[in-house]
This record gives sequence, C-alpha cells and structure tokens, in this order.
Amino acid sequence: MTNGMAAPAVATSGLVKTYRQGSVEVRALDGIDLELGAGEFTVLAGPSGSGKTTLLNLIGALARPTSGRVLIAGQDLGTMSAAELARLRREQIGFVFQAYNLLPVLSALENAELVLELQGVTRGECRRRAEAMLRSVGLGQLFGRRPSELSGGQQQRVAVARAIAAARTLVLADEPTANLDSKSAESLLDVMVELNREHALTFLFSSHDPRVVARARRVIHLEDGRIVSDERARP
Amino acid sequence: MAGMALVFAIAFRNLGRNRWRTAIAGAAVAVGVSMCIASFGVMDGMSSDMVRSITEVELGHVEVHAPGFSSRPRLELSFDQAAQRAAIAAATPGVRAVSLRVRGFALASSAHASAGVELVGVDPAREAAESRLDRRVTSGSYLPATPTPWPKAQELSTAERALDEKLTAQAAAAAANEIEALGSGRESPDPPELSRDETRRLLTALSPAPAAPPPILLGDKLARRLGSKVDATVDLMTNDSGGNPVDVVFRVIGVVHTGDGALDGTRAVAHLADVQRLYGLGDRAHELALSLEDASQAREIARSLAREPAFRGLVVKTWQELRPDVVAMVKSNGAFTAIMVAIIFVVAAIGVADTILMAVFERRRELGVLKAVGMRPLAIVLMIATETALLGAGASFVGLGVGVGIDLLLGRYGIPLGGLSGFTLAGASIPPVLHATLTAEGALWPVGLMLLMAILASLWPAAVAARTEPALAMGDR
Repeated sequence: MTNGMAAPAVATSGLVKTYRQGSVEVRALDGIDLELGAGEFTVLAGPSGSGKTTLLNLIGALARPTSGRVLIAGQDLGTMSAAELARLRREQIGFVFQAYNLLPVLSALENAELVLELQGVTRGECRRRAEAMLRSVGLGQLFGRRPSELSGGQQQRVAVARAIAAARTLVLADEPTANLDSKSAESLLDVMVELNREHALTFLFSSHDPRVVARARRVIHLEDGRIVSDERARP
Repeated sequence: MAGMALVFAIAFRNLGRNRWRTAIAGAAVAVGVSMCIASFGVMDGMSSDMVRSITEVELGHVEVHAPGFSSRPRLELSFDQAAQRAAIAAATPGVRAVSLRVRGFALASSAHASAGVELVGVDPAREAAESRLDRRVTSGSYLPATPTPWPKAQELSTAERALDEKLTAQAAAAAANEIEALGSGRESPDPPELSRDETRRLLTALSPAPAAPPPILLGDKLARRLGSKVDATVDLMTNDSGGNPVDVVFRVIGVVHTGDGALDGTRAVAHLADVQRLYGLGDRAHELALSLEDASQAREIARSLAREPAFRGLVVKTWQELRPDVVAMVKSNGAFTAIMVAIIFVVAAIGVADTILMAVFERRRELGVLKAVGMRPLAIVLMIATETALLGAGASFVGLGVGVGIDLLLGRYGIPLGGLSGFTLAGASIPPVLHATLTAEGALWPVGLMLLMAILASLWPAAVAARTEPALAMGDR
C-alpha cells in the first residue's frame, strides 16, 4: 500500500492472460502482482513480447484477464459489465497509444474534445478545456488540422491532450515515443512530466526507450510475462 | 445520450471518406427506391385504368337497382319514378353525374345476319356526362337529345274488341287443351295460325310503331357481325314487359368502341324513352348509375343514398360490391407489386449491409479506439446506424426525385403496349398505353421502407463492432 487508507490507483493480483496463436497457447502474462500509488510516474520496461502492452490493456479494461484481478481505485474490473467498464474508461482512464489512434475525420481540437463530449461535459466547457490542453502540449495554432495534416509528434501530442483532458485517475501510455524523433520524444516527455506534476495523475508507460526510462520515478521490468524487477528512483 | 452531436458528426464525415463506395451504395439505394416508386406508379396506373374502364363504361361508382336485378337482370325487375329518383341522386353532394338506364335483351337482324343484343336505353345527355359514351363513337354520331316521336295508341273498334275477346277465349281454350293433353299423354293441337297475325294487328293498333326508325348505337364488333354500317337499319325483336312480342326497326346512327370486347360485341344503345316505349315500361327503369367526384367516397355515398326515403326498397351498391372480381384483380396487382418491391428491397439491403460491413471491418481499429476512450456499445451501434441512415436518407431522397420524375413522365406519355393491349380482364380493359399514377403512398412507402431496411441491415455489423473487445479491435492483445 502506498497510502494508509486510500485504495491504490492500480492493483493487480495473480494476473494471467493467455491466448491462442494458431494451435499454440501463448501465456502473455503469468501471474502479475502490482500496486501503483496515486500520482506515480511508472514505466513498464522490457523487450518486445514481454507482456507490457497486454498488462496495459488489462489495467485499462481494454481486455479481460484469463485469471486474476485488476482493481482501479479499488474497483474490481472483473465484476463490472461492458457498460460499466466503458464508463470507467471514459471517466477515470486516459490512453495514449503507440500508433496515436486519432480519429481521422475529426480535427485536432475535436479529437481532444472526444472524451469530454462522451463524458457529457457541456459544449462550451468541452471546447475551453480541450483548447487549454492543446495549448499546454504546444499545439495552440493547430486546432483545426486533421490528423493527416499533422506530424507524428504533433499527432501524439493531440493523443496526450485527449487522454489528459478527461482522465481523473490514470493515464496509460503504450510506447508513446516509439514513432517519434528524439526532439519530439523529449518534448512529449516534458509535457507528460509537467502534467503529472500539475494534475497529480498516475502515469503508467510501457517503453524500452531509455529516455522514457530515465524520466520515470519507478521502473518495472517484465520478461516472459513476469515482473523481474521493480526499481524506484531515489528522490 | 452524451456525445450525440459528436456521434452524428463522425457518422456524417465517415460517409465522405470513401466517396466511391458511398456513391455506389447510395446509387443502389436510389435505383432501388426509384424503381419501386415507378413500379408502384405503373401498377397503380394500371389498376386505376382498369377500374376507370369499368366505372366509366359498364358501371357507375355507385348503382341503384330493384332487389335481385344486379344478380339476375330481368325486364320486370324495374323501379318506378325513375326520373325523380335520378334527380334526387344527382343532387347528392359528391355525385358528379347520374345515368338512368333501361336494360333488356333483343334479337337484332340486319339484311345480312342476326345476333342477340343487350339493348340499353339511356338519357343521352346524362349518359354522356356519366360514362362519356359520346366520346367513344368511332363513326357516325351520338344519340340525339330528343327521342323519336311514337304515335299514340289507338282506341280499338267494336270489331277489334270482339276479335280481342275471341282471341282471349281461344288462348284460354288452347291453354286448357294443353293442360288436358299433359294429363292424358296426347299431343296438344297447335293454335290456329290466324291468331298470331290477328294478335299482331291488335298490338300494332294498341302500340303503333314509331313514325321513323329510332336511332341506335351499335358496338363496333356487333356492327361488324351484323354487317351494319351507319344509316343501315336493324330490326329488333323482343318481348315487352307484358310478354307480348314486339318488333321495331331502328336506324344505326353511330358505332362505338368501349375497349371491352364483351360490350362491343353485344351492346346496342338507344334513347331511354324509345326503349321504355319498346318494352312498355312507362317511366320505369332498371338502373341508376352514379359517377362520383371522388371514387374513394363510393361507400359513404352509397350508405347515405340507401338511407334516403326515395330509395327505400331499392338496393344501393358500390362498384366494389358489384364487381368483386375486379377488386380481387386490383388486389392481386398490388400483391404482385409488393413481391417485386420486396425483391428489390432485399437486394438493395444486402448491398447496403455489405458496404457497411466492409466499412466496419475497415474501421475496426478506430471503433476499438472509440470503445477504449469510453464510447458505450450502444453509442457505437447508434453511430453506425446513423451513418447508414444518412446514406439511406440521402440516397432515398434522390431515388424519390428520380422515381417521381419517372412517374410523371410515364403519367404523361405512358408506355405503349402495342399488341399487348385491347384485351379485357373480367370486363376491365387494358388500355393501349399504360400510364403511371403518382400517389403519396406509392412515393413515400418505398422511401420509408428502404430507410428502415438499410438501418436494419446495418445493425448486424454494428452489433459485431460494439461487442468486440477494444484491445482485439485495435489489434493489440
């Protein structure tokens, strides 16, 4: 436990995920026990196929585990319906994907507003918050541009703005700098560190980018679906 | 539901992403809708032409008869005060015209041939207004407004009265002999030959022939069978309402073509007064045929007329009640059109479902992202259904425009049937040119139905998308 009475932002116990690849059963996660406190800035490190993305998907309620439990702010995802999981994702969790995953038919501003709109935030408030978030990631001049008119770094910043604008508990980022040049990657990390400090959100990255690992206050190494080390940076 | 404006915006913009695919799916819907509207228009046109062909020529929208006449027409099943009743019917709101008719049968003989005819007596002006018979004259002219002058009946002389009594006694004796012969098995003796000539002489005195042959119209096929042209004379032999033989020569004033083969082959039409006089009916008639301003009001007007004291004891029926066979044919036309339309709809719906399914599979990742950021499964279904509805609505309205255009063109210029026309089905004639009729139902039903089918067709791909786990949809296990 990181904080006396309060539930951890994320807790998993005995988390297992298997799936079939042809006739072979692949064990992507093999008994993960993990706790993340509120406001932590953590990186899941490890080679490709170590289970980083699978773990993020299970914590983010994007997939269901084969066995084991996931709790977000004390809520057990295994007991929740599809609609309740959708609400949890909408109201508590922000996602940043490796491939940006912006909607191509929406502008940068509309993409940033997406989750706020789904949350039922009023039109004016939606716009105000999305604009502020886009400005904070350095895209104040590009509100009207569609994803196809933005660079990879700019698209990922929009994705971060979308995630941060609406998230109240947790931001999950899957290899956020993988497709970015070093300048864009540094700039994006600056933004996320700043947001972590300002909003006290819990950040959980998956990455094997040394720049990301260097910025993390906690680094969890995965190999073959297991945690092999869990290191905290000295304050 | 939160985010509906966004759902609508995404659905709308998605339509513009693959314009060719949207255009092709839209074209399938538009062609389907326009073909359905055109099919309804042509079938409605054919049905209304068929109904019009019988309600203009043979039937009124509403008819009045003595009880039993419509099922088995007989000379004695007539009603009195015919002209007064016709005037009351004509004054009924919604009635456009009323024709008063006498119907009987006769043997028509020309110099060349003989044929059985249905002799109809009509008021020329009323008939022209009701059935437009005057427009169907193909040679010669229509009946004159005034009837032929018939000499008044003569008083019988003393000798003729004595002869009448003698003939009556002879007829009574002959009847008694016949009854007696029936009991004994013997053959009854023939009545004296003289009595027929004498009877005819007395009848001629009591009911003299008109001063000149009354004018008569013949159906074109009948005229050909009799070899009679305009101005030829035709001898009509029949029995009057008293059962007495009558024989009057008519002059062919015109030849008519109604398009109904049965009518054109048997129908002879003369002035109402001439036929009433021929049959000795006085002011009696057999039929009132009403043409209405709006044919769909037939049932209401028939009910209202039947309640009138002037029509008490008579039978008032609509054309649907008099011709259930034509009603059945119109219904079968409708059923045939419905089957055809259903096939078009199913094909178009499969096309739409295929397009939407492809779009959903193509956008699998995006749908996964929308789910990942918290869009509810129902909102995903709504978004896909909205996209389909927008595509369906746009294409349906284009189809509506094209379909209405086709109907208007076919309504004006029609489809010439050539050799297929000129026949009748249950007395309803198929016109030589098939015209479409545009109705609100025929135009709007296909639009609504196509929209519904398209949305229904999109629900399966939408449900598949809504059920897929976000991580799986995004390709990230």
